[in-house]
Amino acid sequence: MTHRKPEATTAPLFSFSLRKPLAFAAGESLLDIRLSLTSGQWLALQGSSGAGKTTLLRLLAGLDSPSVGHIRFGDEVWLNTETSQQVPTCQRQIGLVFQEHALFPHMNARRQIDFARRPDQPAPPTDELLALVGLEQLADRYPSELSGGQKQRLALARTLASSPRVLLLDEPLSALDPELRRAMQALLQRIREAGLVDCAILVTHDLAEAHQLADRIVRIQHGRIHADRPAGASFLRLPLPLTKEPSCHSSAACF
Amino acid sequence: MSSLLNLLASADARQMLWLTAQVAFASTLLHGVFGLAIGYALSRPGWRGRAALDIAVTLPLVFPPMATGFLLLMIFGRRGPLGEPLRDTFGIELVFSFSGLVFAAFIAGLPLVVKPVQSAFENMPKILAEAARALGKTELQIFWHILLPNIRNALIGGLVLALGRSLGEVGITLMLGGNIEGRTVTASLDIYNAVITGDFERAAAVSILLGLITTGLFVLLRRQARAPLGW
Repeated sequence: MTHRKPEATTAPLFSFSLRKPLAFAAGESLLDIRLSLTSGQWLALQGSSGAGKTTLLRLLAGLDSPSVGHIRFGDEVWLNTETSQQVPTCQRQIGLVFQEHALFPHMNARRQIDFARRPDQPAPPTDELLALVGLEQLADRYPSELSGGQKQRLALARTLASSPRVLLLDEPLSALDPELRRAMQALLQRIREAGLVDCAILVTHDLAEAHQLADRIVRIQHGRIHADRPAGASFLRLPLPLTKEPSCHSSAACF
Repeated sequence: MSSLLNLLASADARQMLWLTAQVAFASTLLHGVFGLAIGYALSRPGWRGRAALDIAVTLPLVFPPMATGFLLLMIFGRRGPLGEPLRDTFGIELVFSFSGLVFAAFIAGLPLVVKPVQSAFENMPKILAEAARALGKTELQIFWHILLPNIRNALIGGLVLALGRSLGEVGITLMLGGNIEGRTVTASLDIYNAVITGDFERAAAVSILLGLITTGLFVLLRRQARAPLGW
């Protein structure tokens, strides 16, 4: 499989600072998030419903616009509201896997992946991507002929075919049964180890999953960062490297 | 059956049928282009003039055809506010000509294409276009590869209905075309003329022919609706 192994560095590769009002049934709040990811870093984003996770991913992908903010990837500026600079979604080289799959109903699995390719960017061959997600036998099937897990795997393969530098995953495993969930977790881990993307943000409610798949876990609450710490370390151990909200005294309480 | 064969054997009937086919072909082409463009435009909210365009397109559905035809005759007639500049500047005469027949068929059938296309665009999940955008596709690629294949059934259904309406159109055609024998008499006007002159055999033959064509279109429409999406 052709891939680019991200260089291990502590310099930020993908950084952003975004503000946008959030509307809830219960009232309004302000999304105000500033984060940076290093090359090869996978970040798990946690938070209750309405905390602003999906909004954040949509802002990063350029599907929504913030009221104020900037997004930088390496030397490129994707967004700067001060200078009214905004790189359109199609030029951002960002891959977004939607919670609802968002597969095109008129395309079979092979066609979905072929369509996703960018002519100027190398990506693994279609057969290789289908094999990676275990759908090589179902290449001619349409989304309506696939199960929930198969759809989610196809959505992931399709996103990888577009050669994203940044991968955004919006609760990709939430609708899967435990067995499929484990298989998808293993798949995401393979993608991470193969270095198919430069960095990734994964929205998940499952703490164990976050620890397994990410290097770093960020919890947001009411649109703001509530806790930010490395994954892997026991979340029962104290003290925690909290970056915000000093009232959060234990990882169990924070996460 | 014999009256149908007699009809096809007559030179003036063949000329009338050929004229009807030309009008149907030209109006279907126009319906395809304008029905898609107007349907898409009306599905996008929040632009000035949207309500006016919606009313103008829908009007032929609710307005009596004779009244619509008369209104268009007043507007596009030789001394009309749009007819005169069209003739003087571009040399286009919409009244009592082939262009008038096509225009009448176009106006009569347009809402039957626009409304289902508009509805299909409005009901399509926004997330499909967003997913394509996130895959690096341009708006033109999204329209051609994602939106259009997913409204295909609505477009084809609308085109078939508009074609059927165009073939059966009398009121607007009579006003704009003038019912000039050998020049602007289409199949539906031919039935009308045959009944007026007491030639019931010819009226029956043309009616059967139109009935066969429209039934064929209906069968085609049903088959198309069962086919997989895409082109």
